[in-house]
Amino acid sequence: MIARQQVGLATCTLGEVKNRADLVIFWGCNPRESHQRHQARYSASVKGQFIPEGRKGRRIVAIDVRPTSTTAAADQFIQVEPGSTFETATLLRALVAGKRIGIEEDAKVGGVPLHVWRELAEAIKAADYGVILFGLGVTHDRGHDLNVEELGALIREVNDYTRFYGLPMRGHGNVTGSNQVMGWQTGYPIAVNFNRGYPRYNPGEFSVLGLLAREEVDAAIIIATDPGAHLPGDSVAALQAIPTIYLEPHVNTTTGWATVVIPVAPAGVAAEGTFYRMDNVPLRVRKLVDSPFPSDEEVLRSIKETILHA
Amino acid sequence: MRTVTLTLKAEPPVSAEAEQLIPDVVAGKTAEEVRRLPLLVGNRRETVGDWFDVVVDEAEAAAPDLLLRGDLVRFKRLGEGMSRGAMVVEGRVGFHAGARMSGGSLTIAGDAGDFLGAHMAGGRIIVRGDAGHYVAAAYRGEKTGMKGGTIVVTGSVGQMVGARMRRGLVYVQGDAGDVAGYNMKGGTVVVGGAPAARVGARMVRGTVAVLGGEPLELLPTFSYACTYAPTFWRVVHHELARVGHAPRVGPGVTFRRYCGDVNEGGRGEVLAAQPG
Amino acid sequence: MLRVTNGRVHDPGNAVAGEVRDVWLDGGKVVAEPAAEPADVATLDAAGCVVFPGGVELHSHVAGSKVNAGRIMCPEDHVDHYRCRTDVTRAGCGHTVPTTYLTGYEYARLGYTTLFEAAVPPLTARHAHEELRDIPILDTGCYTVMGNNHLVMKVLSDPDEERRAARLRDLVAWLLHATRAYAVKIVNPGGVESWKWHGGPVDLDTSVPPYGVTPRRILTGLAAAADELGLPHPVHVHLNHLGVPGNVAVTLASMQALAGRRAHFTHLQFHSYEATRSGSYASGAPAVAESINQHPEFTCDVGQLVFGPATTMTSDAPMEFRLHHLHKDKWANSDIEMESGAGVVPMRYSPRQLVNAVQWCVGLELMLLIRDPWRVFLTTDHPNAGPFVAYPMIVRLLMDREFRREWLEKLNPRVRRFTTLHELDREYTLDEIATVTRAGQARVLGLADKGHLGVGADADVAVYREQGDRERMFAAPAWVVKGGEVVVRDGEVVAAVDGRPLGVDLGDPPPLAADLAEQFESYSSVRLANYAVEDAYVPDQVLIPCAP
Repeated sequence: MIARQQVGLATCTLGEVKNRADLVIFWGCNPRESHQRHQARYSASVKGQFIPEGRKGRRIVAIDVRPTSTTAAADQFIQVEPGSTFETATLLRALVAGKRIGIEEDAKVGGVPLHVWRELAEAIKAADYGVILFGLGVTHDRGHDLNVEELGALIREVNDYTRFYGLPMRGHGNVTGSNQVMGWQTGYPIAVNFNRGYPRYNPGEFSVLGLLAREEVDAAIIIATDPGAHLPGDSVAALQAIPTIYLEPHVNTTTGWATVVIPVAPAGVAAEGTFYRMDNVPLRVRKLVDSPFPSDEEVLRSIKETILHA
Repeated sequence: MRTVTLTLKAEPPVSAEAEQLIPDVVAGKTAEEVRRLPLLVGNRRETVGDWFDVVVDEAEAAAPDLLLRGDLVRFKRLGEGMSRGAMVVEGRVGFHAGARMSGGSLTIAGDAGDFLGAHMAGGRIIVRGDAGHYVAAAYRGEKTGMKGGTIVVTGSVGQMVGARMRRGLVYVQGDAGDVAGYNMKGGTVVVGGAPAARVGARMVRGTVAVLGGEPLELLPTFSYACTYAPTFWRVVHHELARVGHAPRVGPGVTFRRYCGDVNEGGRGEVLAAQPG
Repeated sequence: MLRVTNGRVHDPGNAVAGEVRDVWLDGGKVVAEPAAEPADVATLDAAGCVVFPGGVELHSHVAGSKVNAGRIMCPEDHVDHYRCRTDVTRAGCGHTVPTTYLTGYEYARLGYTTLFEAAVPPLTARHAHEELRDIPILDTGCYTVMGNNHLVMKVLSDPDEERRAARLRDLVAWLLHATRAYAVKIVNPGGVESWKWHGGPVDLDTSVPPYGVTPRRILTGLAAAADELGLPHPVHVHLNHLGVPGNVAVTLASMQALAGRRAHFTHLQFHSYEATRSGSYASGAPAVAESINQHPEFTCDVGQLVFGPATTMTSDAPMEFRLHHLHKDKWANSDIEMESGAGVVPMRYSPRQLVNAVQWCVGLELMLLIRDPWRVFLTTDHPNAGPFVAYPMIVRLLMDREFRREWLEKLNPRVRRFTTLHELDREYTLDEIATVTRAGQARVLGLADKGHLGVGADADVAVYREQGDRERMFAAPAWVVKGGEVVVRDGEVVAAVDGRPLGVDLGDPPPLAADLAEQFESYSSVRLANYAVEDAYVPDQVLIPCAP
């Protein structure tokens, strides 16, 4: 998200990956375990309109710090050292554009010989429609959003030669939907602050970890996440020290300590709504069963109205 | 010469935003007027008087226009946008200190938070302590960070010091975190100690001078160019000496010069001081 | 009941040209003056004011995936442009790409009450409708992009002319219904698909892979389908070669190809450039204006350039990539499977830049050279050529040739060699402004109840205080009434009512043909059953009848 605000991102929908991508690079992700139907539906074995042979019609490269089931099933596995995403993306940019680089031919970057990167750069340029699918191994590696910024720059520059796109392999349910709604309602996708009566934005300053680390909040409403399981211990301790209201359908590691727990109908099961897929395609999720509990939306609406009319 | 002295009464429970506390605003005001200035504490509009004891008195010529005392780590935006006068904080400060400042001097006797001097256009900031990430950097989405002025941090700084800066001078006497000089368009960052990885990444123009010497973890898009004693360093050294922070490395020292980032045109440089 | 009294009424749709008369509103409609003074009547005393129908925006980018991509990509656009919440409005921010709420308030504050989002790919139509629902006050609708749609191109590849036309008509109806949209949009026909094959720009007769159809066939086929379905709005066309010097050739050729069919050409300013010998920009506005003048079946909007920041965003992905190369600044792109693409690039237009100065002149030349105000409309292709908040200034440029002259002085002086604006003396009248900002739009949109103040029209009214400086006059209406409720007073929002979604009544269109359904199921990443936008996204949609 932050990287997109500096370089933008050239991307495509998953159907384009399926129909056109003849080069698929899985970078720092393991969809065979984290997104189990991804490869069969969109990115590996699936037959696409212009990739009628399916798996045979695609060259698949996996870049990761360790072997996984995804790297095992790839045509090529490039095993890199942790903390080298930025360096390798920087190198690929230079190689794709034919720039003079400052290292010897027998040097290694990210623990991988230069010639391997040269071959990959050539493969990228030779592809008709290439995509990089990148995951937590990129965004949580040393450099964080700058890694994505550098990948974004690479992807952008490859478009001087061919079509080439990047897609983040996002998880965490409808996180894309949350970014979209925040975007159109506040102008910013995450980390929005309303202290002054209008939206302001600054990740690091107004995002959860920073706010909790600096003890800048004195109450919290928590929706659609389980901080007890996902946040570091000191952040959880900071939350436990303040009043919290928690909307959640299941018993989990947070329900035990939240000040108020409001059980809600699980979205997509007992409450309908819009789900934004990782490629930003909006889908309708339907209500399949009745729940005795209200939806998140109903709870928030009633809290808002109670405050407004207090 | 009048000095407005603010002494913190108690630390607020949440963060406060204090961009009103600059010489431009308090100059010529009575103590009562200063007390009535707004102060955003959390999401509440409170006043300076709620949190500070305010004294306005005549002082010697060298005294600052505005003196803040206390641990102000919860106070953001101190000195933001100031254009004149001298402001001294005796204690730590929060984020955005001296951001967008265009003139005057801000001295912080303590650590500073992130975004120190972000988008700064002129004036001088001295931090006697450490500073956080994004010193002299650009805010999100912006192309250009610091455009002028001088920042000295006697301790160490976090990541992205000088990110996207176009002009001006930043001197970190201690160490710098990752990606010092990230995407610089011009200006100078001097790191007295050692920078961490990726120094000068994506730099377009400008200079990162490393006084702690090699080895540097340079990106493959930087190439060694030459070893020389640049005139430019004499100028920088002189300027830093003038503000009372002459680097221990002399004005005639030789540097190894690396050019990059070739992905952005390769007109930036990383200089590594050579021993002796 | 509400009475707007003592104002000079400019209602060109009913040939009322500045007469002082009362306008009576009741039950959300304009009503006849009651025989006896009713008991419960509120009165707005519009003495010294002009009374216009509510403004109608027929081409703007305000909602949906690419708009939000622009918002998210450009926090620097928002940081100094914000509005705090009030008792009746929500907080918002953004200059060239405001948040949805702010978009509604800002349009309303200029006197606009109806708004169309100009380009929605079917696959992300739900997103567009979600955002449109969060735009307060205005009635809203959107257009579906079809000019690079695989199903459309597949049908058009059929050599049998009659079968092709019939199948396309059914497909267009199905797509419009599935997306709950209002009109057919064509963006760079064939050009976006060509981009995906890393092919170059396409001309009218370039055969585009994979179906081998030409932009000419896409244009004429979709125009005919829209006509035969009797859609209230004709095809809404963004031509090939947007922004390229010399594109006047493809523009005129496309108009020739569509002659005899209703068609709306959008942001025509971007399509009216001659090339100089060195390949730079010169005005092609006289030739394009003449073509519009000669074809009463055509309408256009101008896409007037506004100096300052803009955010370009279109389904014309290859054009955005070209723009990105001007500054190598940020660039967002999204290829959308089987349908379309999208690109976003931030821009800044400068009067000293010769190209921008020429573009600025071309827009005004078109507005001044096209004689019939019912067929040329004021737009900035928001936010591509500039933000819509510049409308009052553009109105002044049209009404005040001295003001135009002052501005010409500020431009790069070489602009006079490449344009004719300095030779044009025409000044718009208030009636003509009322036509190019509401009456004409409503008519070409087929909105019988909008854009006029006759009995039965929607009770959407904008009242402006008469003053010599037309920019100030149109920047802060005395009152804006939407659906009979005062929503703006003295330029400030005082009530944030909900607008209604607008759609077309296609009855029950035939289901997707079996071969197309099979193609869809094979290659889309969404099941056909999950494709069509549900009723929940367009609650109480007002359906405008078709006239086949």
